[in-house]
Amino acid sequence: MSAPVLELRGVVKEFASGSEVLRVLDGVDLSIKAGETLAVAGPSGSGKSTLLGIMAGLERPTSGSVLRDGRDAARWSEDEAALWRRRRLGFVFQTFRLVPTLSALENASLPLELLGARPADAEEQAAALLGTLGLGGRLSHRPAQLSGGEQQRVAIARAYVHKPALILADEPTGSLDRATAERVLAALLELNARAGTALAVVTHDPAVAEALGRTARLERGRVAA
Amino acid sequence: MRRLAWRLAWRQWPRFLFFAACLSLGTGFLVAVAHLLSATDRAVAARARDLLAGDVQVSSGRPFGAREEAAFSSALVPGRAATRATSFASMLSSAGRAPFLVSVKAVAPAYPLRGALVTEPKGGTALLGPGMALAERAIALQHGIKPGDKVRLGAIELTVAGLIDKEPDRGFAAFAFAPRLMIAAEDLPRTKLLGLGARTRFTWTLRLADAEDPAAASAALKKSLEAALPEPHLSIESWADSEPTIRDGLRRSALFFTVLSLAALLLGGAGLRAGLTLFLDAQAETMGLLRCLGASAAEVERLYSALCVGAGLLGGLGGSLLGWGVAALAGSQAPRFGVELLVRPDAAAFLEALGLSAALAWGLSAARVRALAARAPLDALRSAPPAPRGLLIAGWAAAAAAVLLAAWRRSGSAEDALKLSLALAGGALVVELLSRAALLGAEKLASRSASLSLPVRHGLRRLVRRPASSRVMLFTLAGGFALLAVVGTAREGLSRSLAPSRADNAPDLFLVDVQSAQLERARALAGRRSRGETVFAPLVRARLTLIDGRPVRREGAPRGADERERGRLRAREYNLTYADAPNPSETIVAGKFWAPGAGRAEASVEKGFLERAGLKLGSRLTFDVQGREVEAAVTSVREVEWAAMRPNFFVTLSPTCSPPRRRPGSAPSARAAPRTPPPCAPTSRALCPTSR
Ligand SMILES: Nc1ncnc2c1ncn2[C@@H]1O[C@H](COP(=O)(O)OP(=O)(O)O)[C@@H](O)[C@H]1O
Ligand SMILES: [Mg+2]
Repeated sequence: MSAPVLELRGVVKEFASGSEVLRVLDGVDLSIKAGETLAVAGPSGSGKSTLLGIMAGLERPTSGSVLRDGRDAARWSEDEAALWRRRRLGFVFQTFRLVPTLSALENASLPLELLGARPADAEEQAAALLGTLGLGGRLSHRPAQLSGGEQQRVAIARAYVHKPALILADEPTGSLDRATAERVLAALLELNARAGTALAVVTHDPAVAEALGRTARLERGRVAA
Repeated sequence: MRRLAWRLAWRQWPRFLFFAACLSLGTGFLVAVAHLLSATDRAVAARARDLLAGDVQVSSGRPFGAREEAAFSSALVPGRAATRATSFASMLSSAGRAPFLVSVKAVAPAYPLRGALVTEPKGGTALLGPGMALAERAIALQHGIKPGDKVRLGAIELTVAGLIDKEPDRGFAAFAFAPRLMIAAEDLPRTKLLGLGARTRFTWTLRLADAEDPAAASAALKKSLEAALPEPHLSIESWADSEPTIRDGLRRSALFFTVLSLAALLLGGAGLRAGLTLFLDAQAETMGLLRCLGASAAEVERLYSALCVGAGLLGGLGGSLLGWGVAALAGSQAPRFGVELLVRPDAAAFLEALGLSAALAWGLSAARVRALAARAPLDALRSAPPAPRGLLIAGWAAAAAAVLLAAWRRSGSAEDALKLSLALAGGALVVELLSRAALLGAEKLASRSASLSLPVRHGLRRLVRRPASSRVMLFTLAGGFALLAVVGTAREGLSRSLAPSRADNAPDLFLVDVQSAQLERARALAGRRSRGETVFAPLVRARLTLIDGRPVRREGAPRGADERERGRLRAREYNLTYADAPNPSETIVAGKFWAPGAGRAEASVEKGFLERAGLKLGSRLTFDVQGREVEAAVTSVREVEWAAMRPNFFVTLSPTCSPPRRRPGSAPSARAAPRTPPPCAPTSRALCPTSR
């Protein structure tokens, strides 16, 4: 059995505001295996985004350890964490976060370019992926010329284009209407099924959580299984 | 990453064009000024080399010895050329005329090495040969001598082969005391005039090879000659030493234009800073995103630094093109104003423009870029960037250093550059404080006045709520006004110092070496030729013999150039004058000028001369004036506006010092510059005999 893509052990995260210390995460244990799908649920302010940041290596836990591909990332430098994200991670945000001055195609090929792929190759792969997501006719459109659902599908293409081991999505359907949300979720699940990409989705939508294999509920800083 | 940078810039080109334009104006100014100044400098240098009739000159009151000869021959590497001249004063006689004083110069056919000797008939030194002479036109005018006439100089008879209209190294005619007679060097021994106590000037002049850099090579040669020939009786000059007034004017105008360019650059910098801050803040989200996608903080910082520096380089490029275009245009128009300006592309100026604008763009953005790139990516995605709390010291320091460097390079003086930068910084500080006060006032006003109309209240609130952009506006306004003021005052000062001869009372006619018998005729001539009044200033040759009772002599070899200069100045022979009052081009800066008719023997000394000769207020000077000892104490120090072209002197003595009038057989002399009010006592008293 291969090591989990990502494993959190006893992760604690505190924020100091003035003299007060806010303990957002209080010993989280969680692991995601290759190909697995996971919903991270919990009320607003329960620390879901914070947890996602720690999973992505964008924030350091106050204590506890994070294992990426079986390796302890506690002492990784910022650059090492960035490199891991670049190779192994895809990101989807609630508000899409496309670069407004770049076209759909350019946005989707960004991760490949960061990995140093030849621009022509990068755009070819991104174009193919956008095609399978039903955006073949929208390659040269700017984000402002696309609807919310289309933008989120471009964001999914961007998260997936470099074939990461894990996609982290922070409320990816939170700002979409139900029908569009369903299509976006279907796209994420299809890519998971096709390539075995592990998927962790932060959501407080029970319907989304239900569609995913496992749910980790954040309550008072801990995961209630 | 490079592709991404390119895309980000390309998709937002109007923004980047704005950044570039902010810098193009100031750097364009700098580039144009650099080109025009170096073109002017070249023009002046060409003239200055004419004025020395060569590039480097060694001269002495004594014949050159073995040591000098050795130094000369080692300086004369292939490609260079050298020639010698000997000059002295002597009486010239011709049949049926009273003998008169001439300034003889014996030259070799190679003379002049620079510039041209203009004669009539044409030919210059080619007209000279054994038994031939060239006479300055003044001799023909004053004494009726014409080409073909025979004249007697010492032991030989010469035929006047032509008239000299222009002698390149004659300098300003007013400083000569007798008209020129030029003879061939081979005739010199036959005159038997040398060694008869005549004060003779021996010069050796060198022309650099064409391939040599005139400024650097002549400076280096001058330095090595000074090292090899330390005796104070030797004067070593390079072409660059001449025309100090024009050079001074150029230096000052360089500084003036530097102020102007840097002010323009700083204004552009303020605009750039505001623009860059807005741009970078708008990019904060993209930066956070890039980091989520796996770019490190350092990579994001590099990406955006490259964008900012790229905008700077673009600005420098635009400035270079703009400045070069302006300079080339000005150069092409210069001949219409009687000036020959050869504008050549100056790589250093282009590099400076590029470097300066890149440094400014980097300096003004670096801190913000770093702060935004290093921000926690999730924060960057969650919330707007925090309000910029000014720039980090490093960024400002880089910008200030760039400006300081440019100022220093331009003015050539670290002190001036520092003063200039401090002034700019001080100005910025004052504007900053004022703008803060203004914002505070606006806040007070907006918060408590219900009586104000809605639009006014709204406007005030807006000002208060966006202090950064309000301050940029205030800065720009203040900077604009300051720039206008600087341009106005500086232009006035510049035109006054550069073009004093334009002034209404500038002399338009110079009569030199007027003998006493010619005085009335000279006055009549001047009256006919000039609208203004004619002023005659007495002129007498003298040598400083004692300072505070101690003999002036060169004790041993001088240590360093200063001491050599001091020795040379003290031992030199001067033109002195007697006067009752300073003339309008002179300002007393220390001590007190004697009252008219005061009975004491006093001296007023020009400030620069006082300093260079190591004298001070109260020094007792003893002059040998035609064998008569005259002692006078220095009681005042004058600053002289040499460019006013009035009869000005290093040393002015009180009339008490003047010798008894009209010794039989003596030849009185006076200098005249019309159109100036009489500076001294009645002309008759002011006249005095010259030494020969
Ligand atoms: N950088 C931070 N500094 C201080 N407090 C923070 C920071 N990030 C998050 N928090 C706090 O941590 C808690 C959890 O935030 P978050 O992870 O965004 O919750 P969720 O995504 O579940 O709504 C909130 O109370 C939030 O205010
Ligand atoms: Mg959240």
